[in-house]
Amino acid sequence: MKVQVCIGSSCHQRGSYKVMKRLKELVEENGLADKVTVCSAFCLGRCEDGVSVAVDDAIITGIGEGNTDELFRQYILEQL
Amino acid sequence: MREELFLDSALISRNHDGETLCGDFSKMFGTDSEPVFVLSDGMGSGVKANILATLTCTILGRLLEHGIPLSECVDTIAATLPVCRERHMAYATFTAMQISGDRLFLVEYDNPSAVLIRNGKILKTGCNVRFVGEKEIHQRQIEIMPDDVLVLMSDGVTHSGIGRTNDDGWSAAEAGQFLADNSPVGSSAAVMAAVLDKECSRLSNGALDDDRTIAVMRFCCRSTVNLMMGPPENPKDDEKMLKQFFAKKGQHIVCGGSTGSMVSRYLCKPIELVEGSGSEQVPDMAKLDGIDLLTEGIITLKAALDLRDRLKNKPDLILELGDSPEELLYKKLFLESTNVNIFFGTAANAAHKDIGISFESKLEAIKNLQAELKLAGKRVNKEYF
Repeated sequence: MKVQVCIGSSCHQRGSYKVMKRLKELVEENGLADKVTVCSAFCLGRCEDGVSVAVDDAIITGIGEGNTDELFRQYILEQL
Repeated sequence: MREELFLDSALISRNHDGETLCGDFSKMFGTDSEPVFVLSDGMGSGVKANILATLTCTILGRLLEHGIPLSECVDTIAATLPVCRERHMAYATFTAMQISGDRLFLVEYDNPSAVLIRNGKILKTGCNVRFVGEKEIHQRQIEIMPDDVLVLMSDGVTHSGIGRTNDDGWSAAEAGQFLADNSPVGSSAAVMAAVLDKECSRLSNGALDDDRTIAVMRFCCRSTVNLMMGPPENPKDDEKMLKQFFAKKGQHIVCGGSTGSMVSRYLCKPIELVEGSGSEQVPDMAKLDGIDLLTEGIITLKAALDLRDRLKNKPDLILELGDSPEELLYKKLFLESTNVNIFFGTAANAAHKDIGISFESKLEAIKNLQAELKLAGKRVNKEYF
């Protein structure tokens, strides 16, 4: 599974750096490093709804520090 | 100066310890094509030295700038400079550089001799000595070649470390040779000035026993950098902007997420992130075949402009520049370019309103960039789409 965190200006200002850091931690903590790759994306084109995260082909928007764990559980852990 | 050459100049001037004013004064006069630069060192340090150096530099610079023949300028300045009754010495020394066509004219009075570095070696040049009253004036004429570097300095450079790490300081030629040996050919003037300044600091254990001024003049070939930021206001103009951008020679920089995506679609090439190149402050940059640098937009640009401000107060920071997105953007715009074409797309990103980036602040950043580039002597062309 490939998880891409948008790092465009808008998403960056809304905290994409912290979202990505937290996602990487969660992947590590759950021992999923060989199954899930977390990387950044240049601009997912959903600037108004950021932070945007693409999990494979699905784009999930409205992510922030507060709901990163929830995103991980719902869209990553449960989809594996 | 020949049309294809650009004068890349850098100046570092440091005050004698404990003084709030520098006793050296230097300034660029003239025009882009016929520049004049004067460095003057007022006797002593502090206010008196500063006033004398400022007067000397300004009078000489203005006269040369207005096309008064060099010999007349020298006569005027040499006759005008007051001689101290007790010491029987002039109050301020000077080195003046004037460029006309392919020729570089140097007029020197009591400063360490300016050094010309060509192909990594010190060029030995003959000099005419003439006396105006009691003042011994040295004059030189040199034909400029691309990549020549002229180093002007006050005696604060050659006296570095006297009584601390050495007995006699070092000669201007030794300082020049050090610079030639420790800066790769093609280094920017700002880097070269910082390299020499750092060595002077090392020799004097960080102390400033005298005012110290280093001016590096590098004659480099012109090189163009094209910068695209923001998609056009009307998507119908995308292709027009892209075609004009890629028709330009030189390096191509793209700043902005949606701008990058637009360029990626146009070139039919994928964007590849450079993971970890950014920081919490500045987003990662990316790679795109056919583009020399691809970064996020406004945040990275503002960070590059902040860096520019910091470097003004701390010129030695230039020796520590790394490869982060904002540092690379700074290097390409300010160190590698002589001509900059800005393609500014005025599409308003609705999302930016929510995160405190107004369109006006983006416009202001671009205008600020343009002003800073012009201040650095670069030719700037800006187009709105």
